[in-house]
Amino acid sequence: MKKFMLSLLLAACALTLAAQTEYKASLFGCMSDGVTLNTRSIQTAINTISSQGGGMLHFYVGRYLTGTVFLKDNVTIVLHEGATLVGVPSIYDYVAPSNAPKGIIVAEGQKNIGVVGSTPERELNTNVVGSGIIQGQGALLTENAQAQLAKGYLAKTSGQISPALISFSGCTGVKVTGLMLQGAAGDVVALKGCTDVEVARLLVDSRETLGCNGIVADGCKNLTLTDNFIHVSGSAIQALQSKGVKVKNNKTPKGKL
Amino acid sequence: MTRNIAKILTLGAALLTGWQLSAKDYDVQEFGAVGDGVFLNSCVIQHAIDYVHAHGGGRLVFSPGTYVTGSIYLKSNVTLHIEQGATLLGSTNPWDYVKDPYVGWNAMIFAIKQENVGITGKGVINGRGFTTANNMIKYIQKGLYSDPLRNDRPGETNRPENIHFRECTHVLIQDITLKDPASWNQTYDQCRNLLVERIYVDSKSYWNNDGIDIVDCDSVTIKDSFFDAADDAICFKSHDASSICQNVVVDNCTGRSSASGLKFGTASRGGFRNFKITNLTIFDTFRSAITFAAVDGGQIENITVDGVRSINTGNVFYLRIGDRWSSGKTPTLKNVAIRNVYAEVPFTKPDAGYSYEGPVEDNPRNISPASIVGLPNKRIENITLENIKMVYPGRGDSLYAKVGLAAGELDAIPEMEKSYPEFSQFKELPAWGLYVRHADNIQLKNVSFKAQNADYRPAVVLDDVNGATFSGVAFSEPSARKKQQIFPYKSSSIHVK
Repeated sequence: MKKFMLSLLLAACALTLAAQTEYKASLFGCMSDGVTLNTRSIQTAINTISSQGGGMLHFYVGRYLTGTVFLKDNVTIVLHEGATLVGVPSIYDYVAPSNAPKGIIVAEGQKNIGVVGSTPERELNTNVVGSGIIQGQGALLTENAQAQLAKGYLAKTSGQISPALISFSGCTGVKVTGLMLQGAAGDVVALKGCTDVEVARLLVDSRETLGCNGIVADGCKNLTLTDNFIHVSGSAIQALQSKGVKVKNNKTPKGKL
Repeated sequence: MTRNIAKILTLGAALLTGWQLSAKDYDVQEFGAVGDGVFLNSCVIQHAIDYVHAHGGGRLVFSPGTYVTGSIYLKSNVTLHIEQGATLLGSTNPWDYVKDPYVGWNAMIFAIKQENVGITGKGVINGRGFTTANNMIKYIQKGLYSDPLRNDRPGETNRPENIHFRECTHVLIQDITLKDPASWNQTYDQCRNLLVERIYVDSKSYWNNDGIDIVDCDSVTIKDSFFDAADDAICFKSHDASSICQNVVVDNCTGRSSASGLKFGTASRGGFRNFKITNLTIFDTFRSAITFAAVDGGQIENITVDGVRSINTGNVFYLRIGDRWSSGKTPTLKNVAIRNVYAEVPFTKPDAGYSYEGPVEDNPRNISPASIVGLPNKRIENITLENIKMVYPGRGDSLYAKVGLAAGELDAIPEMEKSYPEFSQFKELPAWGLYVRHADNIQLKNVSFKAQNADYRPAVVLDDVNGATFSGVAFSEPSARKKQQIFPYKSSSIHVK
């Protein structure tokens, strides 16, 4: 009986701890209306969660407009089914992490970060595929950026005009799984010098702009790419100067890779 | 020959281009700004400012529309020109604003260490501060924003102002309407050569909504402007003990406040000197039309206020030396002249019905007199009051509150040197028109005191005053024909002509 009580207590403690690391986006004032620009609210959420030791930031059904947000240590963004992070079609709302392209979700030199389609428990049981969405509005964004280039208001530095959906540089312990990734202006997932990376069960559809590559890994270590469906205008997977790359069961409309 | 003509033409074109560059207008919409009242333009506006700054300067023009924004930083040689019909609308999301680490304040439009900057045009800057401040409270209550919630509101440095300029030179603020900040409305701190003209301020959406704050600035002109503010309307401050706010002209301005109309202080560490205030109208103002507070060790000197209409305002003037945050410095308040004033003090609350009314406090007291109050060893000196007519309600009721003229009663009035300086701070005072304490050389010329009803108090009480001259001073109070209206106590060299 004592043992049972103890285990109950422990379970309760574990539950409390787990509960403390789960955060809903609305806590930070994120709006699901597709119109409110949530950049600074999401950034505040990430900063707060990371400074409190890390946890999951949950987005539920709705359209969340945003510019660049920087992911921080021990924070995972969870995009539940029906939740869409929508990239704002204004080039000046995007920032690049060092040595990597601009992106919607970016990180530089962070540990244990993720963007996933479901909670880890649920994902373990069901291998969630293509749940929540990141939508880049690549065509609109590119049109805006081209217009700014033409006017001379935007400097002609290469890479500046084509934000990725996800752009991480120098990060360790990265998970990008179970999502639908759509309409990137540049590459879909850009990984520069990252270590221990899992990219799995993504449904990628990004053909709004020309030469949009799917997953571009450069100088990465221990990279696993599995069970992804990739439909892009450029090449599906590029792994340059990377070590320990495992590529398994990835498909394109033309068949298995 | 043809080649030479071509050369000259090219040179001319180059010169012309150069001239155009220096005064060039840029349409903010060309950068992708959207004036739909929804899209958050912070990043676009910031890029546009940076671009204009990097390309020789000019005006960034906001054509009619409503442009939502969070914090932006103005840069040298850039003017934000907000056309009539255009509004720069503050985001109501507190996270869209920055508390600048250098200045320690939160604002929509910052300019820090820049030159030749301005905000012009007949458009509107609307901070929507009420909503932003209350949204911030929700985050503080959730523990997401650190703030002690003193008085159950976020600290004033955490709430966004509309404008905060620091250490800028050649600043032009012209024609704009400034509305509804979450904190002070507009601060210019340690700026030089500041011209503010023809602006309209409607600033009463939340606590601490001052009209304009000029802090430790040098060479300032404020003219032809209107300020309706929940807190002080036109406010000069000195935050830095080693700086001073000086060489200031204020002309043809109107103020309405639920605090004071024209205020020197409260923060008064360095001080204020060489001011000329002319043609000032103050109405429906809860506290004083004019307040001088030397309570933090600063010097106040060489100030002329000439031409004041103070209508339905709780007090006409309050001059005060205190010892609040002096940290060893000796505060001074001297060489102040107040001339050509017509003032009406009401019996009822002057700011009743305005948003964020002033707090009813320091009761019980009858209507407070205008006051000049120093400290026993820190005296107010050389004050001239000339061509002044003050109309008071009278009705001082000794059963409601009483401080009589007996030595014990006058001595019992506290010094309150550490307290926040406010005309009502002593509660009941023994005069209905003017109370002077711990002051030297006070000159009244052609001053008329009128009480509309009888009052148990005399018009004027002087306590510990060395040197006062009353020439052409008249008193009018119903059924008070033989009443002694000037009562000196512990005073010397008092001359009535």
